[in-house]
Amino acid sequence: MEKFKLKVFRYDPTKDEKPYYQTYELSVEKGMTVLAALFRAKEEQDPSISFRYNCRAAICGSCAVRINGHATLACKVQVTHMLEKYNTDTLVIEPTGNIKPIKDLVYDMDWVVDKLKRIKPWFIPKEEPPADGKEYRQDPFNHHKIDYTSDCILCNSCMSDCNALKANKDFLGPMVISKAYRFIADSRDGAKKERLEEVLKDFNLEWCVRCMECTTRCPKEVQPYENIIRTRIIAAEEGFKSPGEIHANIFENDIYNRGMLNEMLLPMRQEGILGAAKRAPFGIRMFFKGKVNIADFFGGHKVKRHEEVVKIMDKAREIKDRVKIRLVSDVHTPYEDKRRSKQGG
Amino acid sequence: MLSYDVLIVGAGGAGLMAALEASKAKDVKVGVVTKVYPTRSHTGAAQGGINAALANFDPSDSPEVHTFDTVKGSDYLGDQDAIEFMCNEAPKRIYELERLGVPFSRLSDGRIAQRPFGGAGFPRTCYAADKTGHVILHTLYEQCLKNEVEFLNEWFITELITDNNEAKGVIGIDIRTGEVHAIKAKAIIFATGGYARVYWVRNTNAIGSTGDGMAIAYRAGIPLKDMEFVQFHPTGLRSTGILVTEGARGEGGYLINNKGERFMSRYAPQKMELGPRDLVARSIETEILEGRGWGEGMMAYVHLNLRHLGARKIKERLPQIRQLCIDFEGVDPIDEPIPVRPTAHYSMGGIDVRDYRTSMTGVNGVFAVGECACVSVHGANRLGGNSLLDLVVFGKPAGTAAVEYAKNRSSDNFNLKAEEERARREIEALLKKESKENINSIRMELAQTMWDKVGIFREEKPMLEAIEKVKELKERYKLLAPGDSGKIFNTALVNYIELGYLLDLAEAIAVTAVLRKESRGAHARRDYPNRDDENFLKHSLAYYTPEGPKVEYSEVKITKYQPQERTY
Amino acid sequence: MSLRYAFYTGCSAKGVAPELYRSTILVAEKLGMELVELEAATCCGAGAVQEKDEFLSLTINARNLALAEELGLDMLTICNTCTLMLREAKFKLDNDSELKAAVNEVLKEAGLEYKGTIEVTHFLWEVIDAVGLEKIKSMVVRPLKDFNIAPFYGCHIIRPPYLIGYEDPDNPTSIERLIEALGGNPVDHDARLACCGFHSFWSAEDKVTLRLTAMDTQAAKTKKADFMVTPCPLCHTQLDAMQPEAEEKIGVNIGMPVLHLPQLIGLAIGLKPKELGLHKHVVSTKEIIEKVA
Repeated sequence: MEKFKLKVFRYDPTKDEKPYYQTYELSVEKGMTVLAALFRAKEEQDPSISFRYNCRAAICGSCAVRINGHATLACKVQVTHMLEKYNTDTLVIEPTGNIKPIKDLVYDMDWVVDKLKRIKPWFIPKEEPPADGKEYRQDPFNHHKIDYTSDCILCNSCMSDCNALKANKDFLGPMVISKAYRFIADSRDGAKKERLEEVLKDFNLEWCVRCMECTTRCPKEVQPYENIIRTRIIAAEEGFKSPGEIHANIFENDIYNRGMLNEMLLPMRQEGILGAAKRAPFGIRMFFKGKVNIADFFGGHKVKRHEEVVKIMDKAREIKDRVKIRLVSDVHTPYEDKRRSKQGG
Repeated sequence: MLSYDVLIVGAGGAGLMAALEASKAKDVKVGVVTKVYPTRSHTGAAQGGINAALANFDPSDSPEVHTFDTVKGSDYLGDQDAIEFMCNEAPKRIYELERLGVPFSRLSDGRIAQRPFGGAGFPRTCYAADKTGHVILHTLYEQCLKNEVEFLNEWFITELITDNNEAKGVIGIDIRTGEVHAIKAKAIIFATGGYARVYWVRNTNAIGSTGDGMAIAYRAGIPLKDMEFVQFHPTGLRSTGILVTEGARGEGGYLINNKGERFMSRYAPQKMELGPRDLVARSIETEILEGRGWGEGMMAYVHLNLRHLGARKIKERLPQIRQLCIDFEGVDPIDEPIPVRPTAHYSMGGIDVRDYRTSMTGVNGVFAVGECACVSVHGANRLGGNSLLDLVVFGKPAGTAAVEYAKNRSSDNFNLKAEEERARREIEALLKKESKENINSIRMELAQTMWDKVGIFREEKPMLEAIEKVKELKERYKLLAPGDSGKIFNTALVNYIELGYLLDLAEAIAVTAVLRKESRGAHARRDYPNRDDENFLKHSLAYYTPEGPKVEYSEVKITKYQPQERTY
Repeated sequence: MSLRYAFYTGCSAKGVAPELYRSTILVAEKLGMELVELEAATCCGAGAVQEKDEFLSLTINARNLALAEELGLDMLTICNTCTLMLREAKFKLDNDSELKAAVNEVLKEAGLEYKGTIEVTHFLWEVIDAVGLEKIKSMVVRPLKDFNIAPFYGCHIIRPPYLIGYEDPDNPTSIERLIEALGGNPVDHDARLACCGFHSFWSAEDKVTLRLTAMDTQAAKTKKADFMVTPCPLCHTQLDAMQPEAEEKIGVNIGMPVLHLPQLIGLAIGLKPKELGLHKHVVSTKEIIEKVA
């Protein structure tokens, strides 16, 4: 029978000075998940491997690990699919990134829960309970806004591969902001402002680099990235001021006034005269490299047929409030380009 | 030493509901100890919904009808006073959950939506898409965080300590440090879930559903009630036992054996694959037993074929089932048939609860709620949507009762420290012990024995053989050791102790099943195909003895509904 | 596959990255791609408008897409973020008929309609699929065999798969295959699929952005890459123009040149470094220019 190698990150802080990898050779079996492979290695070769598990059905969120560099639930992926995906005979299993490992593949969940507590991850009702002793009413459209985001199983796959968290552990992280959004967007919840204030402390919400790792990793299609953006939209609607909001206004105004962004004037409009002065070395550098379009300092040119843009933006703003945009329900199926017979990958 | 007034063991729906309620009391120290992070509990896997006669969908529904449906569903083995209590409480608990934030699916007027479920007279099942248990579990955990409930996460409990028929505390291992501790507690609520893992891979439950609380209570002298009743589902994936819902058959999927025959035509020529669950389950098992399946032993299976539906229909109508097969079985139903076999789903039996209003057991200060308890409201067969309900309805008053009980107890001088020392020495010895056995082979032999002989088909002789086999496996278990001497996150140690629990529970299941010479609900005997109310309208109670379970019986509470033949 | 496209330049190619615009035009011509520039197109919103007013951003991009539909041509972009924003708009409009109707109510003001008849594609994908790697190979006059080249995909050309889906976001190979076709040596490095940090620049320049910029360029340097190559001008601005700030931030000299994708192709098929605008980069490309001379 065909064999494959399971190369497992090992680390026991009571015994090991530093982490190492141990490789187990196993038979490739149809139907074998990576979690099953870990159990096979543990039960037949090395009882000392530690990893978390419980439901083995992608609902408890215990078993997130990195497989060949990308976080996912070990129980939700087939060994054969992974070998094929990475065109390899070796699966490298590591603990989730960005979170301190406790032992082998087990990471420090308390760190995450402490972050979660900052956004008060519990329902705070807007109104007194209904006098009839029954439920708060919530229309189906409002319910759908919190439907996918309440699928979150706190598995930390998104936290693991988040680029902003990689750069700075003080970032709240996609899972936490997504959880905040679950309450912020709940029509029954009364602590919207409070939660927004928390996620906007130090503009934390806007540290997100829009790398889309979270939405790509999420095994439950919670759409953490989209939830971060939705939170930013609500913050803007609620009148919160932030660099991101200023930035969005600059784009909106430029499109309205000329069509394209005026990159030359962006720093000054974003940060004011003093802020722009700070960028002087950058500006001078760009100038000497021939990357500066002088005309843009005087407003630059407009795109052709610009009058259409004005009409469209005026009208869009006019009818915006009556348009109900439903959330995307399927973020699992890869986009299929109608023209292209798949050649890549 | 850690010390609590109320200690809850297990943090699924029932445990968290009890914790939330208990945490409202002032000057009472409440702790929750759980072997997994609370949100990892198996409650999260409950998909379908939670029953309550809100009459949102159909105004004619009522708690009375819900009560009758449940009594009938239980094949009259459920205690009718407890069932009535549960069904009357149900709407209040649903409204409470909603007001704690559970995002239930909604009707167009904004009220909680309800849908029809098996065995119910009206659309009564409240739901949140296909993740009802998940959102209830998470909401309860969130509220516990809000109430600053103290959690001992990733602690594994190994013993219940009682003295003079009173709770004194528990022994547990902090999995993250490997330290063995006694935890003192005046009141202890077990909420540790079911025991379907006795059948290991042939079950729908989480890997951790090893019946810990039941085995612990059983060893401490508390009887287990109605252990012979295990609910099976006809179609689980071959490798993992994960449920493939009726939806696949509902859309036109059919079952075939290795002769290429659509065999349901022999068992249910009219309804074919859409026959009742138990009939479909028995038909598949018969095919496998008579050699018309594929694979061997526990890995045998038949095919559930969807290919004739075509890629388009499968993608549009059954996207979740398709994904489930790809992820967990490595099979895309568009290209290949799905390998399936029945799978154990729910354990009706559990720790004998003496008073449904408090969920107290026969030992003062020891309570049990949820799947690990047997009140009994599910009797011989649980209705879909009643398990989540059981958790919240009985979890809440248990929390209150435990607080009341603890308040009325003063501290005592019981020497828990000595127990802690003893347990620590035992665990240390285990870690040093050399293993002469393999954990997986004992576990798989146990599962296969139970599956083949005390599973879907039951008959005197095979069951007696099973009892012997379990005894043999218990002997072999003595030669087994965890095999890992590490302190931190030694899950080999946890798995080792869990297997010990499963062996004890398997014995209780097999022994009570042999003695129940009738067929009732999920307990289907070939040698006694009919229900026998004259001799067996009673609960079995298995008491632990070192030689094996000693079985007694207790009365079934019948109030309004006299037993009738159960037909649908 | 036809090689005629509605060419959506995006803001950067017309702003801080003129060398990208220039090199794209030159390379496309050599490869036989006909680019019909959409001179009436606006900025895609770049994610900024999207996070303030979703409907507005959708109408703007519906107009951009409608401009390509007028020509009956698929839209070709040279920026990852433009690709994603336009595809996102298309995805949402194509999957929600009520939303599409509302957007068309707006476009009607300008006599336009969004129909959903064209696709949005990226220069990289067309080079590989429409021009073809075999043809590229045959055009190579100056194989890049002396170069260890570190691909930097940039997020929005691989993620999220429900909007992009061109190749496996966890194991893409397109840039490596292209590098190989051009005779170069692709270098595997830790930041191959990482983020440059560009989009949080104004909110977290020090806290996040420059740290990522430094990590990415260092990752390429650790693997002894001669330069990095990226299909995205935003990544380019971040990794190249902001590299001095990143170096300052970590106090380490990195000096990792970063090339635009068309520049890479251009070098191999015989275009001059100067016409490709290599001298316009902030991090010196002198060594590269000398090597290819």
